[in-house]
Amino acid sequence: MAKYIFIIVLALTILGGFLRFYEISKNPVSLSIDEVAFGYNAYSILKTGRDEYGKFLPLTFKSTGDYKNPVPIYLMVPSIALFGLNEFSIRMPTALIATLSIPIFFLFFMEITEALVISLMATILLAISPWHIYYSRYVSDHLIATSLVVLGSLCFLKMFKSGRWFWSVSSAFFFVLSMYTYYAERLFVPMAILLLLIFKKADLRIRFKQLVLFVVVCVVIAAPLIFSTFFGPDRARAQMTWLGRDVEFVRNVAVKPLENISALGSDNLLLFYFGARKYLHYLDPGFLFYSGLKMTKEDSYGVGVLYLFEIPWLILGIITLIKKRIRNKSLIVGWILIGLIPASLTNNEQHPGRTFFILPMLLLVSATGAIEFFRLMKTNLNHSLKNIIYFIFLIIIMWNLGLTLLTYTVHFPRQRGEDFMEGTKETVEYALANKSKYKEIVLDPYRGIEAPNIVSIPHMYILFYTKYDPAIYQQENKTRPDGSFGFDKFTIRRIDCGLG
Amino acid sequence: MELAASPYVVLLTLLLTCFVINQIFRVNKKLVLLQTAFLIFIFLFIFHQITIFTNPGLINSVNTFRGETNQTIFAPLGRVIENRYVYLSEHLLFNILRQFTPATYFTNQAQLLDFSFSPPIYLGFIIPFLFGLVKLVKSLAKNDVPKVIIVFLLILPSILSNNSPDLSRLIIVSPVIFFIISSGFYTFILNYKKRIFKIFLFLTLFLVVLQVSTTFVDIATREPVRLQNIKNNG
Repeated sequence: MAKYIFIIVLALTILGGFLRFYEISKNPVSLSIDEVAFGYNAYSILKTGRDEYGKFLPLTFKSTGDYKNPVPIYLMVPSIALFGLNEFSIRMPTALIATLSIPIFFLFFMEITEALVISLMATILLAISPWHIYYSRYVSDHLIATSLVVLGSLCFLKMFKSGRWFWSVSSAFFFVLSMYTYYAERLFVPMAILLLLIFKKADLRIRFKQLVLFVVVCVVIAAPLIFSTFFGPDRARAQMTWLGRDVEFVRNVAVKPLENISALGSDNLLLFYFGARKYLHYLDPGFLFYSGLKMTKEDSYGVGVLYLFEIPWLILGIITLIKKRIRNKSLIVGWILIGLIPASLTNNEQHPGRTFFILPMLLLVSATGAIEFFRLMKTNLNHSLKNIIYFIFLIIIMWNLGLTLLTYTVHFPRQRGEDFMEGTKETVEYALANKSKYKEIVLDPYRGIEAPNIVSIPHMYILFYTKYDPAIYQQENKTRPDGSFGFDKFTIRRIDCGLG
Repeated sequence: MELAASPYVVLLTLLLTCFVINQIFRVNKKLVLLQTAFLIFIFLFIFHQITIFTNPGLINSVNTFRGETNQTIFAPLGRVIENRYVYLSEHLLFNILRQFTPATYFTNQAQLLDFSFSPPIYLGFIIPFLFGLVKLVKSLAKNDVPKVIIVFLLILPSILSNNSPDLSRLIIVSPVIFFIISSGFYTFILNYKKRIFKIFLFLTLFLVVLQVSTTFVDIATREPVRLQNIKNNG
């Protein structure tokens, strides 16, 4: 039996790997702002051991002022050393982790449900999950962090089961590492650990020593991160993304010139209701099934974080969780409920990356529903009616997979190319080819047809595609006499074309 | 005013009257179902309330998708997958699902009377609602299918609206929601001696009272300024 399970999981991993690696350098169409920034900093670390600002092996990368987490950057270093500085080497670590996470998720599902069929079904859904595939095809700190959280949780549950010290240390290591990977995890991981502890409260006394070791390792590894979050540069990032800075909130609540509003109508109270709305909005069908991944233009249907054919499975899964005795069902529900909190505390519209850690549990609910669906078919319907329903459902699945294929390969590159700074690479290549003809080459950081006010970082694309020596870049003066930013022959400033 | 002027208030009154009469005379469940369906369909057709497919943006989207796919090797696949009938069915399903989203009822996503922070039902009520819903699902049996169909019929007018979820149309489903909330409340009161239910009851009441006050203060203080800002900015 174990041999067959191994073969199935291996086959799913290979299928998942194909979907994640196929034409990875070409789709998404171009490297995004974050990807080039991650990439050049990793290149800089490889060549000099310092980031673009000359800081030695930093734990927070200032980058474009958004203070990037270190794990994705350090993970790229070996990849860049092996394959050079290019699209593949930048995206490869995320795709590799995404592929390897398929068997890890399977083990996690098994640990939670102890039900082989549900775990296998959830793993199948993971291998073809549009949400997981989307985030595995470009540099995604969300995906890496979630994989580490799952690994940490798996080790945590194993620690309670076997009581081995190894699992305590591993669990603490992976949990804290996930917090060094993405900001949302800094809020989610403590809540997830608390949730797991509530679940294992009956075993707390028996595993007290292992738990103490777990806490000690966590505190030791997380000490720099805790300091940086509360007193260091990471505070700036938290303030940047805080819900209170949401455009809609500021427009509707922090209205000027109002002063001396009574406590009952204070901004903070309304912020609570605004956050609650954000929270519940993540359960919107538009996000879940229609356009949650934002791969097509606004107001048109694209691909949601789950497939459309999962709708009946998800509904049936919820009903089954309510009506039947499913192992650890409160953990599944609790995980989803706390998983939506970090994203609800941040600004801007729905963000599928900030809620990515709820994916394993959503898949489990969906898989539970799928198995219940097949059971209901088998027990309640006669042979011919059952076959008709299976046939209709198969057509719906094929249609949905076809729709997703078209969205990924046809519409996403055409409709969302601008988000990935499509054309910047070609611009830089043209500039480089003609560099000798000009005294100064000026690039305007503002770009875009759909959104002419998108601010890009063309200098980073120049550094990336020229493989500009990081040692020189760190040392040279980058401020022009007129105050604009520049290096070599390149200047970055607004170009007044006189077009109004 | 917006809701009071809605013809759906008349329909709601009619449906509730029928419900009471049916209860008194113990009318068969299937007959009740037929009666409800008849009333709703008559209403939808007489008042031309089916506007779901009138949005030109929908067809434009299909055309854009098809145009893009036709330029690739997937053109034959696009003909099957991205035709307008499939897309409209997808839209219909989307509208159905949106009626069951908690954000529609408990947050200001669908604003009541266009005030910025006035939800159709106060957020605190979501706690008894969830309890009531779980209780309801647990007690659902096979012979409850007509009840489920009636709920679906009640949300049908909102599903068929161009502006879905449409609060003025969802008014006819409000008794069902209030019933579920009451059922949850009843559970809290019945189990009041248990600490957890005491907490839930207190939390619900606290949140509701707080939100009532906040909403009124917000309308009194900020709403005139918002209106002025909208007027100034066009």
